[in-house]
Amino acid sequence: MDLPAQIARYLDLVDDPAAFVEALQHPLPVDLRWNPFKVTRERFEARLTEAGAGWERFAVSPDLYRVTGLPGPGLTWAYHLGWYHPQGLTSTLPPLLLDPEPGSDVLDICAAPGGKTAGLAGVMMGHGVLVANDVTPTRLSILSANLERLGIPNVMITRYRGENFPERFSFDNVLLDAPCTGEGTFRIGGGNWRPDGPKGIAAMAATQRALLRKALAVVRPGGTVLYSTCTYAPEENEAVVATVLSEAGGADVLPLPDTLPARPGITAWEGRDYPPELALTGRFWPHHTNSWGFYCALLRRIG
Amino acid sequence: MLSCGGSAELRAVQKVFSDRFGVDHRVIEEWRLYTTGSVIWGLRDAPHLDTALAALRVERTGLPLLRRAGKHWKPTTVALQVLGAYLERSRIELTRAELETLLASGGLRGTRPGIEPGYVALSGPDGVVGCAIYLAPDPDGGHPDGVLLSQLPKARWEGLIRQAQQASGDSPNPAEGETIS
Repeated sequence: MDLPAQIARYLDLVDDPAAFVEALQHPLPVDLRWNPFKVTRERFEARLTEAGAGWERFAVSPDLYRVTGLPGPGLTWAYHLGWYHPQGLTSTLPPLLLDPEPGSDVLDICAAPGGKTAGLAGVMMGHGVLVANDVTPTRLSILSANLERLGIPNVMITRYRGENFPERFSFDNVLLDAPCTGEGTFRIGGGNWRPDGPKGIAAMAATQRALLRKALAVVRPGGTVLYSTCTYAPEENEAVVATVLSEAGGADVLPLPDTLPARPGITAWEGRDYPPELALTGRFWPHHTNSWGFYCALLRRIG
Repeated sequence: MLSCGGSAELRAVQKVFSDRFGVDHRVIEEWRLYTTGSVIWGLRDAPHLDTALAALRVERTGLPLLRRAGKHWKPTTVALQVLGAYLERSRIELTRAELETLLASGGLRGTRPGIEPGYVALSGPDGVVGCAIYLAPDPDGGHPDGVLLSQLPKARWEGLIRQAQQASGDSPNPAEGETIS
């Protein structure tokens, strides 16, 4: 078993280290999120059946299909027609947890490649202001291509550095799926993930804190921010939330639904204590979801 | 730079989608139109849309409906897909095999009775796929039987195009297609 030190340091955090390591030895399953803007659910399911695919669904993410027997899901007619978007189970959760009302004003501040933006549009039923922001041209190009393929009718694309997003317009909800070290994508013997090391984690955490400050600045009082990453590092998860909450003083942590396949966020790590409400945030381990390792925190601005 | 679409953009959208494809004008009027010069975009209206647009530097909005092609406006693939249920004419039904031949070779020979030359919507077993140009039979030209030329976006459909080419033996020229009545 070849577990990088950057991953092995989390074994003490995991409820079942052996199951965690076992899960990392398997490739990710094929998860497809049905796209309601292009096809009915019945027709999508009929197409899966015609293709000889089997599928499993999940109560926590009703539009997600875990599919077997469908090689090359990016090379089908249905993919090019925008009937589905390949997206891991845990990646489909942030829009559902943020749960914006149809007709509301919503910002996805680090939107590329666009799967979560499309998920937000689905929750909003295509109604309301949905701003998808990203900064680098290549990522914006991918974002545009996906949102066009999926036929999202109510999205506006902006190109600001997230930390500098203007505060001239406020939102009811903000999704901050932050850039991160991506440890949750690691699989033993597969994948493209490479260790960033402590310096990489520290640099990423600084960016994440700046982005979370901005997210809380552009959400209206009473509005919510969903902070998520696909990494295990507490420095990029609970520590970011704890630091920004202590500075802002105008936000609190909301509990996540207890039906989620999540474990509570941690309240201490390597000699630092975090506020007890960080236990209301959620850690998604691959041996509980058979998906990306993930972290989510739902915050409400109260000031 | 994004700007609000005016009467010229509305006329262009109506001319293509209502006049050519028979889309009910009320469907068109549900879109708020914007332009970035070579593209006309359609965005679904929202209560705070104008405020948001005034406050933010927006790069693009909603879905591309038309792209400038020389002197003409060309319907985009995604617009034809999204409006597929409302297309009353200039729609050509193809079998999956014909669609794959068209993808592989870029063209499909055959006359299309009742179809005016120009932009058409390609439709298959899964509904409207995208845009093509139909050239009527031209005995003196290079297509005596008429031809459909794919306008599907090559870069974005590259994987499927390559797959179709491998399946068909990489035919470089428009293949014979059945006449669709």
